[in-house]
Amino acid sequence: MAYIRLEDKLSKIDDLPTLSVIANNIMLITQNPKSSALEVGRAISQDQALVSRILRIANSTFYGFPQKITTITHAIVILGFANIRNLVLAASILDMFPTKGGDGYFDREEFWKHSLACGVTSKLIAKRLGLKNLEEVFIWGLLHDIGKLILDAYFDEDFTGVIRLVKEKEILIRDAELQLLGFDHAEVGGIVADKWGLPGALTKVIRFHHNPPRANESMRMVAIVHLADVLCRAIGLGNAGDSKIPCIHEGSWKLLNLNKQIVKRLFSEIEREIMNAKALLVFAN
Amino acid sequence: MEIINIDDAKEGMTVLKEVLNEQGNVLLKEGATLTKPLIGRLKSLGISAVCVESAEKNDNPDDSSPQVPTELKELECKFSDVRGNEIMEELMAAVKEYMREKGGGNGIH
Repeated sequence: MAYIRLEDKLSKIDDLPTLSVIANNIMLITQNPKSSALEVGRAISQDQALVSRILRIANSTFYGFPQKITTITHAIVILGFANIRNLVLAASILDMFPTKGGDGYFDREEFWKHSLACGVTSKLIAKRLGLKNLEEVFIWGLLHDIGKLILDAYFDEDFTGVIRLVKEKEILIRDAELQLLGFDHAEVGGIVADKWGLPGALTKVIRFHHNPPRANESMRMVAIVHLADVLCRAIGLGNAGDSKIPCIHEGSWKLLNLNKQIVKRLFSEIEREIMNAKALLVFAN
Repeated sequence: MEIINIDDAKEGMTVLKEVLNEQGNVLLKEGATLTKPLIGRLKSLGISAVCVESAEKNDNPDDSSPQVPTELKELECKFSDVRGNEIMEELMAAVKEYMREKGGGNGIH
């Protein structure tokens, strides 16, 4: 079978999406440890719609701060640079690929539901492991599958064939991608994440979430999202584009010390948390 | 859930699995309710069978096995390619127990 060379395809796509100018600026500013909250605030304030969305999120039950946050500078101080950067990033990507978009063949609304559930589940697993950067882990889960959105939007014909094969043969979307295209959404997502200059941890999650050991020293963080993805598929939260379930990587299961009882408790927690997290999808408005 | 011949399809039945044509295009979405014109249209497009919740079940609110058996069947179908894998069996058991304790369904719709 003549596979499409991914790099060839990507190089021919002139309109491959770029992050918004503001998102790019925020990424650069927040990477510089000498930047101030004022500078970040000034960059975000160039887009008043973004300011209002961030304030809505900061005041939502997702964060649950007791006092009302009324200015962007206050939000930056309270949430921190990393969280603000992640929110701007999520907003930029949700703007590019809205829940109601697509040609209907790949169900974007179900896709975002699944992604949201993965974010929540990743955060809950990380909390159980005693990690500190829980909101960042949430974003890893939320954005881990962006490669599918790129395929849906920019490889339309190829991806329609993939989804058709998934439905006809009842196979995993990744297996259909590998069969038809010779590459998968994780690879596509990884290349685009590099192009966008996304944070290193997020890029590794996007690229290796189907194969955590390939993330080497970052295997544990990638394993969190790998497990979250499978758990959400198991309990039927949203739809990642197929109706089958991939095998959990044995080393990841052991590394995160999961078992049946813990998974059952996680399912209950996910259900409670997901209502709060839905506020995040106001970014899709 | 049952797969029925299109000739046996009746008005009011709920479609449990989307109906696709040979090109893989969706003709009818999951959850759609069949009507006479819809059944006629499916026949004219060469569709021979549909997966539905039976009308009998819809008419009987006292049916003692509503959602869970369907969900369990779907779960088994979802896990069919990974049966025998120790971790996946443990995960499937966790889902089954969770569903049983909860009484079916999940929280995100």
